[in-house]
Amino acid sequence: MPSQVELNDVRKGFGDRQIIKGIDLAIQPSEFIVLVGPSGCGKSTLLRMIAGLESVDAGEIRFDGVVVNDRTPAERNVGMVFQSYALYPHMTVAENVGFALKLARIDPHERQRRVDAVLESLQLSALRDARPSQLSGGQRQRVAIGRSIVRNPAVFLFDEPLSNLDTALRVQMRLEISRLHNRLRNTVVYVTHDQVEAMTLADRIVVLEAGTVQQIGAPLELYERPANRFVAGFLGSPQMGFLPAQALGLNGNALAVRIAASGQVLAFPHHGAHAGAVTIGIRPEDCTLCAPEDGHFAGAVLQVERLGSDTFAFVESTGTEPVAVRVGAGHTVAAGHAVGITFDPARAHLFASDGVTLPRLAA
Amino acid sequence: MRRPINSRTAAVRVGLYAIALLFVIVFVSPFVFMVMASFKPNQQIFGDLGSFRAFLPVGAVSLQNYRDVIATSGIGSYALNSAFITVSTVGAGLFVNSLAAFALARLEWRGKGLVLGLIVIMLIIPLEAIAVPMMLLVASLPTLGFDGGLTIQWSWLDTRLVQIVPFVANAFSIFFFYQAFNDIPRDFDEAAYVDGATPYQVFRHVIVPLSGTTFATVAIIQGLAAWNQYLWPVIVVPSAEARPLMVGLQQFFRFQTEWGEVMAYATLATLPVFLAFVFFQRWFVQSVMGSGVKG
Amino acid sequence: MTPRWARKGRLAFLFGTPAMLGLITFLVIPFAMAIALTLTNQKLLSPQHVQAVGLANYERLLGLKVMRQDGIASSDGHVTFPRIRDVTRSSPTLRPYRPLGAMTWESTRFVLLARDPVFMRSLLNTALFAVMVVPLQCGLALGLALLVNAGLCGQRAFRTIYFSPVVMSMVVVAVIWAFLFNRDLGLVNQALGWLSGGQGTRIDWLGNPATAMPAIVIMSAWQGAGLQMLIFLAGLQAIPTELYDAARIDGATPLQRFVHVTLPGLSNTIAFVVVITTIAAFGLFTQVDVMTQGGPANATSTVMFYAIERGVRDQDIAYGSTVTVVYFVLIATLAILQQRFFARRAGAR
Repeated sequence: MPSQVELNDVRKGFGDRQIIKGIDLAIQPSEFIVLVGPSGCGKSTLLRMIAGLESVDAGEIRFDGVVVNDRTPAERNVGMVFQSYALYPHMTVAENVGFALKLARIDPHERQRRVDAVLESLQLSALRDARPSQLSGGQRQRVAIGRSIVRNPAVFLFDEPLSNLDTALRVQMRLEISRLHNRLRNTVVYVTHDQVEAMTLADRIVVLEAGTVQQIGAPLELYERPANRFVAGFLGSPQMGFLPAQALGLNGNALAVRIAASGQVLAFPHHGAHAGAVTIGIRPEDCTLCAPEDGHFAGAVLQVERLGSDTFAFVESTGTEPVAVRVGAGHTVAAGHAVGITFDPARAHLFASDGVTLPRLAA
Repeated sequence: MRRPINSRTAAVRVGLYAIALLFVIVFVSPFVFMVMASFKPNQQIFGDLGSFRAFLPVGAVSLQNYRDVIATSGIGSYALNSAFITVSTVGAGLFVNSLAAFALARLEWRGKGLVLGLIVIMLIIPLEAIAVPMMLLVASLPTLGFDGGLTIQWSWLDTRLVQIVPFVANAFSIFFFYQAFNDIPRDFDEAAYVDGATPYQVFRHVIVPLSGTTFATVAIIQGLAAWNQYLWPVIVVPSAEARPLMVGLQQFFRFQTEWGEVMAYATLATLPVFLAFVFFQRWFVQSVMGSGVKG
Repeated sequence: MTPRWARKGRLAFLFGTPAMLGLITFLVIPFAMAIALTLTNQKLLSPQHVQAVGLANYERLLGLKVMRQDGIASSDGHVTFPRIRDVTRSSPTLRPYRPLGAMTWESTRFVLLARDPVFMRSLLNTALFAVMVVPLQCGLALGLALLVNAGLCGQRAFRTIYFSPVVMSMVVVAVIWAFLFNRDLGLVNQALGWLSGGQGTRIDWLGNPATAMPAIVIMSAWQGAGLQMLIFLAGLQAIPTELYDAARIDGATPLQRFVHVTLPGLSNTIAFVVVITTIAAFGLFTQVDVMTQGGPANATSTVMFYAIERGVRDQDIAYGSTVTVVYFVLIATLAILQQRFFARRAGAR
């Protein structure tokens, strides 16, 4: 049975350093949750706390309503896939997968039946007597998954499982994990620093930074409605462009905002009254290149990245970080060109000086 | 390695081989002499000494020295004593020391740092420094015997026990295991805990199978020390009953003028170590190189 | 920090107890006993009660005095001195002292007196042994390591052969070498005679006070060098080959590469090897016990040999313990001094 997992004000520190600063999270049964954030944000620690491998300083972790803070990982009935896979080198594939069953004193026939079923479902049957050292990266990954599903865990934990694989294999394993979840419907908590994994796998994403939750939501919701500048910048590649600006207050139904780099004042139709320093955030796909004099602001092309399907131009203006603009694949723009950029203020984001997104009005 | 080949480097290499072979002779010839002399009667040993015949199995070669030494020197019972002492010390030592090292390397408890520090301090106390008071100590320890009925004897002197028990727990072995266990990724333990293992099962099914080389190394170091033990039995085992092989050799050597027989005894005493060395020499070498670098 | 279920104080106690019990009983307690016993007159088997004697054992062991004698010039200008034994016997403070050595300077003689001259002799012998064997054995080991590391074919075989005496019992080795050192028939004299073309006298290696200790030094270095060789090899292999490549590109000769790459890279290893070899040297016992029994004329009596003689063979536990405590203080001090010396050298670089 997939479990419901609940975190109530969970905290942890190492010495004086607070790693997890009070996290609340409710994970529904069968939900696929991805914890994402830059390295050092505490996502792996949080996962290990859910697994029972790290202690909880304060707060509660509940599985199906029961506090499990002091339970062992086995008692919590979690399965875990480690970044290093942690396959026992002295055991064969079948022994690795069956180790938990052996420890649980499941009888050998039943054990073999279940191990065979798992190996079959992961297309590992031919490798059952191989040792981990004889396997490829993708095969090791599958064995690690097999080991964690053989006990039918209530919660399935992944700690950056794909980070040791090359790109092609990563895409393939991503699909396999997704298919597996559709088949088994376990509750999954998955840690990664890769936003593509997060976006493609998650039912909901939890963005962590410095031990606190920045935002929880469905992938597209986070992409389109980031709660703050950190989330806006973390999701999306290339990154959202940021322009320093000044909010001047309501002008009719729209908020008047002056772009610092150009002095132009734009009307933001979906935002309410605000005054003071703000940051405008615009996605590359929402920007358009034009002649310098026609743009909301102008700058010089710093670099052009041609990816085949898309081309991104990085434009630097006075007082801004480079702003990425998506242009047609065949666009002839080149580094050094002077260009202007226009965008639709209705699709842009506004962040207050503390980084929090200014609330949008219902259209 | 790519080296430019020219006549000078070739000459240097020839010179190096010559030196290397010279040292081979220096290190091997005493053993060859020992083995060859063990097959020869006394007169011939003396006669051969002046020439290379001393290193060759020539002349009246026979097993007579071996027959005599086995019949007269008590080497059989001494060898049994040494074998029993070595096997017991190694067997018990591997278990006791690895388990303690596991507690130090992998379990969490208060006072761990303190205990580890104490063990490092114990590393530097040699047996020589405590041998004399230890004799007084073991002289007053009780042993249980069975002699028609249960008997208690208030002394460990002249027993095999006294040559085993003090050497089972070994600070060096604990420290060596501790370092080796620390090099095993903790992910393995954690994966096992997630799989439902108890700490002892982690030790038994994960740490021990992954530490084969370490166990072999410690077995060799402790086993060699036990087999070659000399100072301690000289102190605590004055009579013949529990006497180990090396003390027996020293006694035999001092009260014997039959050189051939002494060499036969020495050859027999060396044979087990030599065989072990031939078969496990990789681990012998690793045991020193590993301990040296870390020490 | 690990979770509470993984904090296994009780379990760790269970796992660690057998080993700790062994170490406490057979290492900590004897060590404490060693120190305590030196303050008593404990014998192994004695009807008398054990009494505290303060530092008497240390006074007896370490007592040294210098006595100054003024010579009596006879009519023919010959200076004579009173017999030392007559002087010490007649003086209550000098009575327990025996002469150790003397130095005459014009008409004055200085006599070094010791409460226990045999111990002093043993201490001197041990120091002499260490001073000879440490450079010989470490140098030989380093040479062998460089030879093995030179990239010869069969280097593993060479390594194994050079190491082989280390695993052999010191008793066996001592027995073989006792034959090799034999005056009339020993192979050492045969080889020396052959090298010198029959010239030179035969040396009674173990029977002559002047050569007995050097003989033991040669044998000990031969037996032990393989161990240090392996440690040096490990150190050599830890030096990155890039450093040698860089030195070649900089035009360094083989000697310069040795001085500027190999030696600095080995500095920690050298320090470690010198310290362990010194400690081992100060424990010299087996070779002496098998080959010479401390003789001839105490020329090979060592600190450990003396401790066993007094403590075990004479069953004077307290006095034997005093010798071993002095021995321990000595090696601990030496080890610390050597560590400091090497640490300072490393720091100065």
